[in-house]
Amino acid sequence: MDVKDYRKRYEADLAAHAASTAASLRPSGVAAAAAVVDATQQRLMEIKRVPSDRADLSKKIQALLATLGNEKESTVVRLAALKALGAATFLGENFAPYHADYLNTLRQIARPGTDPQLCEAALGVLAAEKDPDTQKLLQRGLEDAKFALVPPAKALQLLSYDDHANISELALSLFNQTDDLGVKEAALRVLATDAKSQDLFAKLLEDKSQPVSLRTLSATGLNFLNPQRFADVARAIVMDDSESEDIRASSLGALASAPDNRALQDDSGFHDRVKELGADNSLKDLSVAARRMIAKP
Amino acid sequence: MLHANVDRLWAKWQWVKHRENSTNPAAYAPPSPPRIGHNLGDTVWPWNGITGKPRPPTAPGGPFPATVVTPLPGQTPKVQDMFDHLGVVGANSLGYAYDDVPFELQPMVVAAGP
Repeated sequence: MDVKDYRKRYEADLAAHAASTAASLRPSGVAAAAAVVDATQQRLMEIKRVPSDRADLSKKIQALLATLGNEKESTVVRLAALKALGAATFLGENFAPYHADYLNTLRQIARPGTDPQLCEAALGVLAAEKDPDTQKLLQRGLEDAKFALVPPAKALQLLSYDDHANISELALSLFNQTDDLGVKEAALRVLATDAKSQDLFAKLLEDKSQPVSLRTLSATGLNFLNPQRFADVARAIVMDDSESEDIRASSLGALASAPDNRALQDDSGFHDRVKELGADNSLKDLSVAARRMIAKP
Repeated sequence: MLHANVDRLWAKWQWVKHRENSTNPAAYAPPSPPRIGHNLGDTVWPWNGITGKPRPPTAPGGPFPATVVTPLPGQTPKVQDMFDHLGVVGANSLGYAYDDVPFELQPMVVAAGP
């Protein structure tokens, strides 16, 4: 992840949302005078209303399930029903009688032809439930794009909700086949739970020609799977002046947070270099990371 | 899961606004009226072992368990110890992270240099 780019995109999303909220609240003359309330808005407000009585709650859940499963309803209303049902799942025993219907309704939605946004939302809930049929659907879409219900990066993310889904081989295969950086990133996140990925992570981390996001994910993955091996590679990166400053700062930051960095503290060559980096005014994040490393007790 | 998501949303807000420092007045609004457990310096139940109103009658589990990953938040965490989960301001993280909340130093720290 490029943090600066991510921040820009997120701040733009926030600004767009704030603008749209302000626009929807602005009285638009005629509408304000006539006090016309949009039917959809009224519908959404009704969906959000939580009944206080248990019997009403039961009726409400059934009505929400009907709305969610009704293909004639608009996507925005069905999504609101899905959101309300998601909240209702926290009601424990009050929701338990409807749980099976809830999943069945979602399975009916998670199929070709459904609005993509609604389909993805349904798949997200089912994947979080570790629904085997959904996992098969997602895997099938990754193996053959014509069956894909969601983009490959999203499918990998949804499959990764289940640690026992055994998708490492598929993720590795996708990583090797695709040129899409987003898919490669998603594949590496999946592979971070597979001990067999150590060699791949070490190779990517050492390869200066790889995109920074893949090297950063590799650093995280290797640090998780084999902290000692990560420390060896990260030490070499920190000492290498030809490396990118971002990668050196990330590596140094991870080394500073390592639970046992005594071996590095006894490494006088490394320690002297970190002190030099900490005193180098021309560096930014790397210098800060170096000073944090030095400040560690 | 609900509590974890609330914590994630708080962490994301902190990242966007650079409000990881508990001493920043904009990062925290004191409760009104004051409530035990809601102030920066308050210790957190049940790890503080304090029982009786307004806290619950028992405090199961003993002190907060130690981990090799990080020395924080200590055996009796305070509210203020939970602000900087990635170690942006302090030297140590709390040992967890969220996929959509990146580590990013505060601009003034980066700009100030050594």
